[in-house]
Amino acid sequence: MSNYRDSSGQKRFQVLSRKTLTKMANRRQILAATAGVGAASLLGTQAFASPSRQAAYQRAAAQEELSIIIGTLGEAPTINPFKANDSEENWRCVQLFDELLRIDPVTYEPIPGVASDFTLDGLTLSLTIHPDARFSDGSDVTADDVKFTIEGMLNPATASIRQAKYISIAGAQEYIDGSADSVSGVTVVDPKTVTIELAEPDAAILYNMRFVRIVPKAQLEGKDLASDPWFQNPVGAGPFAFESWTTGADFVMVRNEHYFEANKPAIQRVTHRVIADAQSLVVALLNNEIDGSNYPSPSGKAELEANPDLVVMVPPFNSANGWMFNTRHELLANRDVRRGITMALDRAQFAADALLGLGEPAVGPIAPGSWAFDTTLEPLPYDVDAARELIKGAGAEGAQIKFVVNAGNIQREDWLIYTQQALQEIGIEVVPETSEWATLVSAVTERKEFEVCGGDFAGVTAEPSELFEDFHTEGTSNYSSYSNPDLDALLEQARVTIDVEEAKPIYAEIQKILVEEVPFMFAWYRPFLHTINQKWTGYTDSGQEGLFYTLKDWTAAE
Amino acid sequence: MTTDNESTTTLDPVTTSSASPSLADDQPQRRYQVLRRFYRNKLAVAGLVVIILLYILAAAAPLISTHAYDELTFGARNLPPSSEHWMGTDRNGRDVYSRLVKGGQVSLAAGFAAVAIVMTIGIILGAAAGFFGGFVDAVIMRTTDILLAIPLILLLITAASLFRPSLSTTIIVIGVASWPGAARLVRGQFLALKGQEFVTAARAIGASPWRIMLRHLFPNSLAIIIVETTLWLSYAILLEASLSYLGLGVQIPTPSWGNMLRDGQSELLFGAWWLTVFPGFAIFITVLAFNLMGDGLRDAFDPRHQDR
Amino acid sequence: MNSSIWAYIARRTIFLIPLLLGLSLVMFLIVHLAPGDPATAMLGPQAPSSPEFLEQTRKNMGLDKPLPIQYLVWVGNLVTGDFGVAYSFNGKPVLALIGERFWGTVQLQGISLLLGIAIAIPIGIVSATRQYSVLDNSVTVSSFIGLALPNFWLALLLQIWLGVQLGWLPTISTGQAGEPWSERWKFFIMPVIVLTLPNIAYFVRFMRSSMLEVINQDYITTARAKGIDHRGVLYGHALRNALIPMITVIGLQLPRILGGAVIIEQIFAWPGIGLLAWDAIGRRDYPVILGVTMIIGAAIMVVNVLVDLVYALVDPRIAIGGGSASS
Repeated sequence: MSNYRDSSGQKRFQVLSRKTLTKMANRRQILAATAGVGAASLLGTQAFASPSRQAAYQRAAAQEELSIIIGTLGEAPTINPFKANDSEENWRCVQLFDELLRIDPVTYEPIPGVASDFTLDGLTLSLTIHPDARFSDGSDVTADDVKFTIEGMLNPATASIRQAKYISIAGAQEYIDGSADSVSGVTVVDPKTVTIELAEPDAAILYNMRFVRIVPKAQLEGKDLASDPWFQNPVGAGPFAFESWTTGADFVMVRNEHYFEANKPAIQRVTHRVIADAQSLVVALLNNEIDGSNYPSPSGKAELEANPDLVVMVPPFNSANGWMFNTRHELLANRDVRRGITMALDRAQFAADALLGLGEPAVGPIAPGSWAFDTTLEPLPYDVDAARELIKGAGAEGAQIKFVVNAGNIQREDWLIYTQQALQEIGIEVVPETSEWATLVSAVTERKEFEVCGGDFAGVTAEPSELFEDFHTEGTSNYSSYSNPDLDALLEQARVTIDVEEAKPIYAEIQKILVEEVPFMFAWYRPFLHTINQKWTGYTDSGQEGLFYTLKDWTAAE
Repeated sequence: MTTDNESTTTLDPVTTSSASPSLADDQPQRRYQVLRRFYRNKLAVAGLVVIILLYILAAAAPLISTHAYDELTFGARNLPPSSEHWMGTDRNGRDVYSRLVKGGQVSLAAGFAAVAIVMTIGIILGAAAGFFGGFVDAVIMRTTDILLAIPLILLLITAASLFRPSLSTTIIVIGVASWPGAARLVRGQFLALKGQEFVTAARAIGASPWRIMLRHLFPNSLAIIIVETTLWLSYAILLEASLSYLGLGVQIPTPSWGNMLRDGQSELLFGAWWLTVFPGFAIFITVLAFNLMGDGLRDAFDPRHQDR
Repeated sequence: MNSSIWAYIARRTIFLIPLLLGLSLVMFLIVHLAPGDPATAMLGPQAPSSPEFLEQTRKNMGLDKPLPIQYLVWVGNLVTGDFGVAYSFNGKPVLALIGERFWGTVQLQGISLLLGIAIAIPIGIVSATRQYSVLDNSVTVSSFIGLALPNFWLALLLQIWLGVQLGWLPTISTGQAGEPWSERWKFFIMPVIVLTLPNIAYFVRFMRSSMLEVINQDYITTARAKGIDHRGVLYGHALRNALIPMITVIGLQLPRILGGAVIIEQIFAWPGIGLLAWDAIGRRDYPVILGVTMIIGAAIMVVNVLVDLVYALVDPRIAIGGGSASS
């Protein structure tokens, strides 16, 4: 106990008698103990009385409106349809603004959207806007709004990433150059009819009409479409209207009462909730904290399927991952080196193991769901000995090559780790690197500073003519700097071939060349699990667009 | 000492109020007393033993591993601990135990290197500020004020994320961002010593500033510097683990305890507890050991504060 | 005495201005000199790699001007209170963004701080008055453990155990805004536990050593020798004197509260300043990164001045002149 010694070391009387101290300390201890027990019991009763799993449904039942909570990864940076880029931004814009022409979720063919009728005759595209199409503030959607939107996307000041998609319209180039005040090829025939003249045939023009997300000219004329505050509280013609957005948390939309499709949507409130990572999404789904999501981690498949409230779907494959080779690198410029690397990697094994058997080895640049996909296509075989010969023959044995992926993507990280070990067998020393997403994108897209890069920087699902941008010598997204005159000719031809049957053999040839030359090794498809609570019905799953593309058609199951 | 993994060692009043210099002649006897006090502190000795053990294990990593740390095994995903894999396997079929040992090498070396930078910059600048005073002191103190105004974790995340994250970036960033604390401490010590008689005496006989600093002030500050270094080691290891956990430190496939935690996190949901428990425990034990030892050293050097 | 204190306050306050300028310069340089820029960060892999396009995007963000001009423009706006508009986050004004998230962090950290103090003070006192007892020893060991425990590890383990396996508590905090308070407190439990434990450990040690130092002072013995009641001595003199340094230490913890526990906020998806900074850094959202650090930095500097002032006022032995007293 507390014995006090003064500075001379002499033992003095006890500072505080043991009894007093004990009494004081005891009283405090008792107080603390009581408080502790009280808190614990409170916590205990609460926990057992209403476990969090039930809470979500208790609330929903109490309210009368039909409300859905959708979980998403990663916050969308913007809902400006001129700037929207990634899948979540696109989805939000579709719900808020709808599309001039939509695409079928399964076949990706253009179908009527805000334009109820369309005809493409040679170089002339006529669109009839639905007579009931209205913005969420009640005003009519007119052809003027359509023309305004298209011009907005072409305007260089907006710096819209979709600009290149409408270059084929007559007068577009003059408008971009500034020699014309408006795009001559877009004509307002009457308030509900638009005619678009093309300067040259464009196989993708119907598909690209889906990116025309109409904004009201009356409210935006003369404003800066890149950054006007209007976009913080936008008005669109889509099935849902913007209500609120707490960044990093909930993005809330409510039903657009003026929507042109009768009795739709059935859902009155949509909450798009950002959840930090794919594992937490699985947990949130299992706990009924959210109704559905496109992105739960595939490793949670067993748990999700075992849950009686959830429906789990594996969508058709969409994004092909692999290795993109920088063909300006002295070794990688040699086709044999690229082929050697490709043949040393066992895609089937990787897909079975690291992708949990959900992913599959990929073949070429076009996803299996597309009409242009060549089913007879054969990938390069997995043959370590042949690979070794190729590498030796090219004089690349012992070479050090940098392979980079973006940090945080588990499957791509695993792919890098696997590649490092596999290529040791053929004498290539992989220098592995993980880079933060923003840095990687900057290095690859802007400066093309990389040797081998993992990711889905190339490859198409719905519209095959986009391959032009990926692999043509003049392509705007040709980051591998691949140049092949034969391929160029084929890509140019495919781009203007409107008839699907005519285009198929051209694309078959294109795919073959890409597989043989392998500027980009298409190795595996990334697996997704689309999960939804069984209380919902009316949905159509889509590989490219996800589960919630057709949200306006959904209803509550009986 | 630390809270929310932030070091405020310099602000612990015990250290500052009882800085006690001693004269050079006293050294051998004082050293003996210090050591004796240290050995009486069981916890501190335990800490020291653990640390020595850890460094030996880390140095001997290749010898005591059971597998190659980067060896993949298909089909051996997420196996629980067994006689074949003492701590189980991870998502890619790599042996967790071997990775833990290799990661220990990486983490401990990183911590060491970072602290070396921190203390070097901190001592030099702190000594200059404390001894020369005036303008030099003002400039250095303002710089520390600025750097200390940003929460360390935030500064580290910004710097590591913006410049390419890697082991060397981590070390440099921790070192360059953390020196203000050490500098302040050394400065305080030098300030306190500067006014002592023996310094005035040395000056009177015409000793150069360098001589004074090196032969008188520095040796008498050793106590504080040693304590600070030890405590900073624990903190640096924790910082490196935090950064690696966020993905901004040591990059895969090189293992570090922090990024092993990050890798293991995604599998935790599905029952693979060994992927997070072992690396986390390793970090915990290391930090604890350094804290205990540092605290014990502090008590051993300064008996007056009667804490233990 | 009074005038020198006012002089001290005046001097420190004026000093803040060059410090803040210095801070702004340091952060601006760090942020702009790093590789990667917001244009490419936001556009991602679909960005057409044509130089005109990227140039236009940068122009829209004001990034085309030379660095010194950008700095001057930014600081000029800052002085008038205009923190600018975020590049992502849907173009929201930076101050509005910070305002949204500020309360989230303060809530969490404030509760953890108060709880930590409330629990630590009694334990520290008891521990000091029963020095070397079993209780004291276990308190000391526990506080070491509490300080050494990596908080993200603890957070993960709690999340899995309490959130997933037992299902008692929600694992992530997004979505708590709409909840009634009868449900909402559940979101707080895990992050508060993780943040409070090291607080308790730190303050217990501090309280204990501070208390011990005071108890063993001569003047306590004197007071007792004079026959003053034991309890009076304990509560009156010892406690009061032990608490004073405690106040300044609490004050010094405030910067940490403002900085936000980035990792914890990330793990629990807690909408606070830390998470805002983390997201902004990932997207190279310069206005937000700079705005957050400037506000936090300014707040910390002000708090430092206040704490030094309190310290100086309370303990006249500490000199007020020259630099900061906290060294």
